[in-house]
Amino acid sequence: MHVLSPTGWLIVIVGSMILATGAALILLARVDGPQRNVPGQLFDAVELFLRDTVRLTFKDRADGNSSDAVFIAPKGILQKDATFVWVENPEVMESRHAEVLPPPAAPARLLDSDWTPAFSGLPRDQKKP
Amino acid sequence: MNIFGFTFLTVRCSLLRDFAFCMAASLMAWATPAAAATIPSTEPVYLYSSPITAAFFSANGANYDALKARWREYLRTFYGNANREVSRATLLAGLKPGVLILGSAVLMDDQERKAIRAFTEAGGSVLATWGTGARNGKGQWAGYGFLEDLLQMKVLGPVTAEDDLRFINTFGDHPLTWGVPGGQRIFLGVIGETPLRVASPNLAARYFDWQRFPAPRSANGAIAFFEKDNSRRVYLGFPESSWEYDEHLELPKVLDSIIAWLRHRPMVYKSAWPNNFLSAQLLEMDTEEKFTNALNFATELDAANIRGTFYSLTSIAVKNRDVVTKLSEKHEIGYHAEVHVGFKGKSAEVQKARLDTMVSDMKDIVGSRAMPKVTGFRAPTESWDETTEILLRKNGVRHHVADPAASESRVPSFSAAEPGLSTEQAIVVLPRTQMDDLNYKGMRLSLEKASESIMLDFDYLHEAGALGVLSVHSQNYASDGLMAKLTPPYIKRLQQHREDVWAASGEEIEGWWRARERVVIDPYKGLATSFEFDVREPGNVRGIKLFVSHPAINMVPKSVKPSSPNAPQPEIKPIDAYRSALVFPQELKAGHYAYQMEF
Repeated sequence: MHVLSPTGWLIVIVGSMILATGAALILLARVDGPQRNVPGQLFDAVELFLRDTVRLTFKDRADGNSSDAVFIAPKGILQKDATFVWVENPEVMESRHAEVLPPPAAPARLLDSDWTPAFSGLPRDQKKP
Repeated sequence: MNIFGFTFLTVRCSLLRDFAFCMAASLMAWATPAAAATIPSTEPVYLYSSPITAAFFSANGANYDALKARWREYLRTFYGNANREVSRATLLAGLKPGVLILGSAVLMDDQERKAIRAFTEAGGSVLATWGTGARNGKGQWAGYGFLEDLLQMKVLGPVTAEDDLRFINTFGDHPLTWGVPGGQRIFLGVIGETPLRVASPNLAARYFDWQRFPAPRSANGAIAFFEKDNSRRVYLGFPESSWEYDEHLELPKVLDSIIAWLRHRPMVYKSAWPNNFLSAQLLEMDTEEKFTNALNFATELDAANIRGTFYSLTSIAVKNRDVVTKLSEKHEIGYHAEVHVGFKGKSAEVQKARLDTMVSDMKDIVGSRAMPKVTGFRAPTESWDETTEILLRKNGVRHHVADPAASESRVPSFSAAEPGLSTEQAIVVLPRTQMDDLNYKGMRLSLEKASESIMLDFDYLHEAGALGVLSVHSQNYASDGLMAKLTPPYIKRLQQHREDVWAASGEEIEGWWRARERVVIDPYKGLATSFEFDVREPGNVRGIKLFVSHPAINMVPKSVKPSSPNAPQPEIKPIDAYRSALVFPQELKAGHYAYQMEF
């Protein structure tokens, strides 16, 4: 035997919501402080209440997708059976450095203060024998 | 390797502009002879062809033309007939004032040094690079005295392999380097001709490693400048062989603005930041594990009256709604995805499903009325791609804080994921330009060293007119954690700079960057005595600032007058000896604005 009929339950639910809304309104009205957007806050409170109800009752998250853990490395990297997307194309890995040093444009020791190569200056500056 | 190319011909027509500027300068000189006497005409650009350097290179198995060719290509393209290659004989005979380029002219005899000094004493400008003058006419080592005397600086020696300082970062909004954004990272390559470091009170760029780790201030000057008796001098510490590695062709823009300065041209260009601010700072928290630690961070921000941004992992935030509510009273709440897994490389379907969950979570947290205020995003592990940006925009996201590799500069930019979008619609990308708490923890520095490093980082980004993005993680912000000790002194430094550092939330910076983009000015179209700009629809730009580089040291504009009677009057504010700011505190509507300027 049911305590209440479906109609009765509906009345209880709606009545509870009205009471909850009324309580929230009273609580808001009693708060001192700067002027608040009471209708807006009332809307927020009711909306969040309903959203919480839906979320906690119905929202189903896929396994592995609702973890609170903070992953930095790929998930399962130390698990033997985990599956990954493998990088097969070496072009994906870009190098920021030249692989081979280009030939220098200037003599290698040009700015080495200890290097004093033989140099006679410009041809016209050379002393005549 | 990238070939140093000539792809800027379609960007601007410098020859026509040079002609127009010369005509205006001549007319000004005729009309105001007193003014002309203090602003020397330095229109010709001379490239010195050093025969001794060429002979020495040849005698030692190298080719000087390989370095000089870069200058020839650049000057021929952009300066046309105003450019001349001068011989030793012409140099010794005496050049009329102009801009003399000494491109890695390492060997220099006494006669050449004397001729160059005479040139500068007559008001000529000099641009020298790398080891200019380090050897005498016989190839013997002479030291860096010539450069040090010319630029009143100290040459510290080469960048070593251990230093790993393979990039220059230019200063933004600077009279020499305004042509590229603040903190622009330009790769110099790994070359035999190692760049030289200098110490100078007048710098326009510094050497850094890729991540901009703050090396000591005295040891990483890359571009120096000096002005004496109307003679302007600029030094580039890196040789021309580095230009090959400039993949994004930023160096020509730097050279353009440097040569404009050497020519004493007053250039008017748009500032990165509004009003009196010279740099900007975003303080943000990746709010995830140990969510309630966010309140510790918020307390410090509140005490300093700074609005920060809390990018929240929604699966955790939904269980900490009261914390989110508390944070949202004074700070911005943004997205940090629904779970801490990256997005990059995942299919559009997978990303969409995740982002839909994230948005749904956020609605459960803040309610539908507050949702329009949630417009920021930060990807977990900084892992995102163009698909992520496209989907984010569809979900109302207007900005996202990206990884340091997202941009080569230290200022915001617009997403390129949807090229057809206007800047009113595209997502604004804020690159994380500073090391975050994970970096500091990983380096295992002492508190003292870490503090020194973070303060130096602030100095560098402020000097560069850049956007600082300091990212901390909630799990590292317990009251006894490293960042909880590092951040308060950093915030205090921000407070000391409250007049010239704009500490703002992500959405405020995004809003400004969009408004700023509506102001369109071409500095190369301006003349010495006038400038103009447009404000695109929808207008409503408040606080835009233009910089004007001085034609001579301390020569602040005497007046800036609008050409039409009802146009707004900017405030003239000297910033330093070489530039002033023109601040428009009023709201500018869409339209065309023109001004006359007098020095």
